Amino acid sequence: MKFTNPNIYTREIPISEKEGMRVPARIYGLPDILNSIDDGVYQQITNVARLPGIRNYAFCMPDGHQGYGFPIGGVAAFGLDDGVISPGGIGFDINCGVRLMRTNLTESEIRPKLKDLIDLLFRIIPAGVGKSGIITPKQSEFEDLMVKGASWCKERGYATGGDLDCIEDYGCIMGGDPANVSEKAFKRGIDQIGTLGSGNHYLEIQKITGQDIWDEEVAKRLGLDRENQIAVMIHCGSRGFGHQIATDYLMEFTKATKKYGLETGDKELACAPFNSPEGKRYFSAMACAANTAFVNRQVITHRVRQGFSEIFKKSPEELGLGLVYDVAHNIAKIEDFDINGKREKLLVHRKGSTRNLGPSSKLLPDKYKGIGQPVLVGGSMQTGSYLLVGTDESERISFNSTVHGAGRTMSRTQAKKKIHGKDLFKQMTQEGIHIRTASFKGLAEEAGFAYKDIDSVVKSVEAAGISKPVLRLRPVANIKG
Amino acid sequence: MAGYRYLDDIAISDAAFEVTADNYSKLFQLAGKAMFGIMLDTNEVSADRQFEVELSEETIEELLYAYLSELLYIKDVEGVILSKFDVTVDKSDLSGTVSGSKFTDIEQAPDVDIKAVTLYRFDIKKLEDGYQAVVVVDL
Repeated sequence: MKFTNPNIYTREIPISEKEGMRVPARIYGLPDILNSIDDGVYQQITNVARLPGIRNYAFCMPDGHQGYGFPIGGVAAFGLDDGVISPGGIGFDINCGVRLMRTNLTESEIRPKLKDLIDLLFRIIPAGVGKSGIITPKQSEFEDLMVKGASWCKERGYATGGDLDCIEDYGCIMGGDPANVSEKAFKRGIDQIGTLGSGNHYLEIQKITGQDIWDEEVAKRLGLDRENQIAVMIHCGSRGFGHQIATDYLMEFTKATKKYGLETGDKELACAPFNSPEGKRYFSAMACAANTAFVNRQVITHRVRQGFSEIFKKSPEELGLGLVYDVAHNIAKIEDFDINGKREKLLVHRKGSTRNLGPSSKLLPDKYKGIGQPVLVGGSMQTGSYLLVGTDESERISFNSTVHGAGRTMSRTQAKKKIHGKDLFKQMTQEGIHIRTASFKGLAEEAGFAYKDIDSVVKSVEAAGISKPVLRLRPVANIKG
Repeated sequence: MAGYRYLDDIAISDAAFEVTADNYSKLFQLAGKAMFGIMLDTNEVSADRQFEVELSEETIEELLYAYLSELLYIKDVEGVILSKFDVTVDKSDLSGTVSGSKFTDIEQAPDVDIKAVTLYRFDIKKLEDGYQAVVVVDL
């Protein structure tokens, strides 16, 4: 595939490369990242560039790799009147995302009780395949929570007053209507509220050391500036509820694509005009799934607070168990951008990409005004994660979007061939990482070597002017779903 | 000629398989077995719980997608791993039973869960002496 390099961190594929491309495609990354991008990304991002109503560019972030429909790391914004919505641009795990909690504890305080803590959290937070949720709402309660999102948790005592300010869109995507959700999705999701799931989903106890802090002022504002301070990261999504909604609408959109005469080049990119009846219903159902994912992570947070409280015999307030931020990385949202000098509402699809507001954004809660939105980059369970903040320039560069993780480079099967789960377990234990897992084979799939070098991924978005690194979080203990 | 194999190269973070059979019924039976084989060794899963499946779609591709998605729905709602797939396909209609065992009754822990069936590279093609399907699932 032909491309140009407008600068050291951008690869651009012109519209002449594939018939029907409406805009060029741009992949961000420093040379080591760009040279390792797989061919699937090129095929998939140029397919995205063909979709009706797309604005400026089809983007792929530095953690990008081949997915289905959109590549993972794919970002595209569409006009509301002339553009489309595609379940393949959001993913099946709607509002899969990451949240970070801070604590007042340090590593030396937590180490003596680490095994007890992890055993307790593993017991009270369901992880792995086929586990029932922490709460089982009645049908009417389920309908209520999928419309309200995190504020439903506040009403029920699962969230503290400050939590909602620290969740993307305050934990609620507007427009959710249970009438657009199938009975199957209800049945599949109602028993899974407060479950981690499996695969690369996890709950991780992490530490921050002084050498891993790049921006001390921002770290202090976030309450993450103590030497060897402990934090808790949660990575999960909307579980079977979101998977079923995406499946239902993918089947419906296969027909809608034909009905509206749309050409996608990939069945997984099935789409419908955003303003069509099908498009409106899917957006509404997607909002229900997104809100349920916010509830899922909030209920798990509640259990984390209970678990820490029981082990350390102190209240969550005394332990400083506050929410730093919660981000979605599989979602479509209506946001405002300048297009050709005019402010326009666009539907931004982010599939394996995180919203990334700069310090001047009016959408920030007061506590983060002037520093930018915290961006949580969940790395592998072995090599650690990052906290970044968005820049104002990213509005122009990438529709306020950035990376979401390290990005896989090796298939799950290849990873399992390279290391046995029990050997990885031993290796991680020697590295000081305490592991609880539902499956050792599943653990092998998540080995650090199966992912890109997260340092290079972060340096890439920094070089591109999209995000600024604040600090790195290193794993201390991990509950793998 | 009937069988299935996993394709490592076309799904970095997910899983893919290719199924070959001389008729649609066998193709669908093997596709079910291949899909649940991603989670664990289904040869060790008994078939003590049975579920009826009846589906009708406009095309054979839509029917395979609907069928595999229905199996994942049964997995979550009934809390089972399916291991036996006695289904018959006639044109674009499917009927029969699928069987398996409760998660709680299975000793081995699944390696991973399957979230959904994707349409990426999803295809059924006619061979000289049968049919071949490619399926990518989201993990």
